[in-house]
Amino acid sequence: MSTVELQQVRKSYNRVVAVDDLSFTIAPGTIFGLLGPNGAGKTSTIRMMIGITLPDSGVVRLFGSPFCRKHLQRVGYLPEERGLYKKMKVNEHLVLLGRLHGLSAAEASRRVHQWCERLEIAEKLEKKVEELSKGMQQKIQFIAALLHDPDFIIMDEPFSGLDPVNTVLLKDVLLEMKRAGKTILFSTHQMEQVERLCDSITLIDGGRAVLQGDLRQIKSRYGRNNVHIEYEGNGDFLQKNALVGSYNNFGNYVEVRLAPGADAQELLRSVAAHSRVNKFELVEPSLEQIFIEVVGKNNA
Amino acid sequence: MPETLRNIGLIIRREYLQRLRTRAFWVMTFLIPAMMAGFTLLPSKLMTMKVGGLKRITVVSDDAQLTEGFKEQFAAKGSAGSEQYMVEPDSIATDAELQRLKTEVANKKLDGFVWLTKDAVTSGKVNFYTRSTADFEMQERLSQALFRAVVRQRVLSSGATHVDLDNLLKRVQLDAVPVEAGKSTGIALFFTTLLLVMVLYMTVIVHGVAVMRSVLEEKTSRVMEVMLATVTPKELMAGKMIGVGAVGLTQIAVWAMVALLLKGFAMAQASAMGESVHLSLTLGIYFTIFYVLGFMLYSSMSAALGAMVNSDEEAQQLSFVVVMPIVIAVMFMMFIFRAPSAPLSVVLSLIPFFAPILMFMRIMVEQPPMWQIALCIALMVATIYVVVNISARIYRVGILMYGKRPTLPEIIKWVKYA
Repeated sequence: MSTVELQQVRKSYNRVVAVDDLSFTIAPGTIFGLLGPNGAGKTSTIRMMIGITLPDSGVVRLFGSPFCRKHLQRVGYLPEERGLYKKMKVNEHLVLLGRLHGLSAAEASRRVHQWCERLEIAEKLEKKVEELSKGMQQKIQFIAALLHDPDFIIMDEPFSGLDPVNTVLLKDVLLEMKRAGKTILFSTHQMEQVERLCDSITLIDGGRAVLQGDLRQIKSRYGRNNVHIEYEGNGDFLQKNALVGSYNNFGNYVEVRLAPGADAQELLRSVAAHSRVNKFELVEPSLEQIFIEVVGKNNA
Repeated sequence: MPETLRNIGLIIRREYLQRLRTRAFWVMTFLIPAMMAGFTLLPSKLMTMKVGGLKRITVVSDDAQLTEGFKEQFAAKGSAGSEQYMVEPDSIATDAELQRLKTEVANKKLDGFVWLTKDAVTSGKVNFYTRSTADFEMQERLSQALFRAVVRQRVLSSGATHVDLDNLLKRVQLDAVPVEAGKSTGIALFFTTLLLVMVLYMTVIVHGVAVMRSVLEEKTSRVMEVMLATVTPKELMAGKMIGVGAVGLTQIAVWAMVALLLKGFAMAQASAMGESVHLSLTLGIYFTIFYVLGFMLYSSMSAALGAMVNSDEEAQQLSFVVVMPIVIAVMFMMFIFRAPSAPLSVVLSLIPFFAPILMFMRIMVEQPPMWQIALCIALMVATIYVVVNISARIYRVGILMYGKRPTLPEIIKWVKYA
């Protein structure tokens, strides 16, 4: 039984198609990446999963049955648009959200204290939300999404705007959730953030799925035809080189995708002829590269 | 169903407690009645207030007897509380004198003069030259004195002698007495009505608009997304309306308590105030009923508007939609006060958007037939049912729409959207 199952889901707003014929399943206990650029339809898809909006056609199933509001007790949602009642105290606010998820006042309060200890914001409990920094507010919303111990956790851009220390803190919590058997959905356009976390992904663009499946399989399908080169000197070797399919140049560092059938050793020789090579590495393509390639192909 | 009730309950609780804790609530609670009392009572007090200082008035007449009569009557009209006047006779009724006096008035050596020539009296039109033509208090006194002096003159010149003129011209006071026992009378009723109606009006408007602001705040702070992951838009809107409405009821309860205390205090002092300001339990109940109905009607419209807009500026531009009907109702107040049972008054007071103000006013001024009150409440409940349903549809779609304000056709589509 899949935690989430979407079958040919379609949603449009005022003739603009936000989600178009989208299908995917999320297996229990896995981390799923819903990836795509801004405006691809990620948030629209999530909203249909939790009943904020209804699909125009298609079926959304949660925990094996068609969506009903009772499911929401088992879902934790961190929306991309962060918002809290500014004038409320942190403690009050979290208890309110916990109670809306079906916890008793006492239980909600106990868990709020536990979580705030864990995320190192216990001393902010009696402060008003508006007195906290953005990052703090994000942690509070993070807690709000997990307070009722949901089986399915939806994180829409969970790490945007967080410093590295807090990013690691939250990531560790989520990995622990996964070990405890929870299913997690990441929605983001910052692919490098989740590429090491996800078990499977669906890449969407313009409301349509452009790439779906197990992340390792996808990566191996795209093969080791990527080369990272650190060099000194000029980058002329990249121009009009039959070996180079595409590249992303950062000055003294370049990521090259080889042309079909090209040999990496030949490229090394051609680079060494023009510049000093400090590093030459054959790597798996990053998710971002795959994405750019897939989307670029679709748009061409 | 139990979840729905629990959710609404939690939202009401949040909305209510948050508001009660603000300083704004307590300021408003005491400011609204004070302001309304100020708006209704102060202007009339100021109009009749003594300006102070001695006023110099000249009476120009070629008829010495008339001048004397006028002076006498003018002096007789004065009472202890009124202004001090000095009235001087002037018997040179020429154009040159008219010009000279005008200059004196303009130069503030004189406050005014009455051109009381025989010709003027015959023509029935006497002029009073003054810098400010807006001093109604003085003009009223002059006019009365003039009338009495002229009548006296005419009676005497018609040949009647030995007539007790003062007795003939004695004023008769007409007092309106309501047939229903216990109602206050005249001026006290007028001001009590005005005060209560204005307080009702302010309470409905203030809390109605508060709902709009609250919806808008949830939208702009994006807390809406978090809430909608657990509650339905209907629960959110219902909880918000009831929560804010309850704040208004709390306010009314505070006012009722203060009023009772004041009344008890006034009764203990056996002063006139306790008698003149008539506040009964029935009136309190009607006030509460019309507040609740008015608030439901206006706050549901307000919630829909709040969901449509994206910023305070837009909200301000659109708030007239909510405020307009109730302002129109206030414009009809004077008419209703004069003719509470006229067909137009009855019809106006039955229109649900005006009813909270106008029907309540009719109830205060005279007891309308019970069937009219019942019909009015039934019409309001029906209208509220329709408006709440339409608003809820607009609200449900609007709260998730950011960016540009929707056009009317779009809103109609939202309403139709099942």
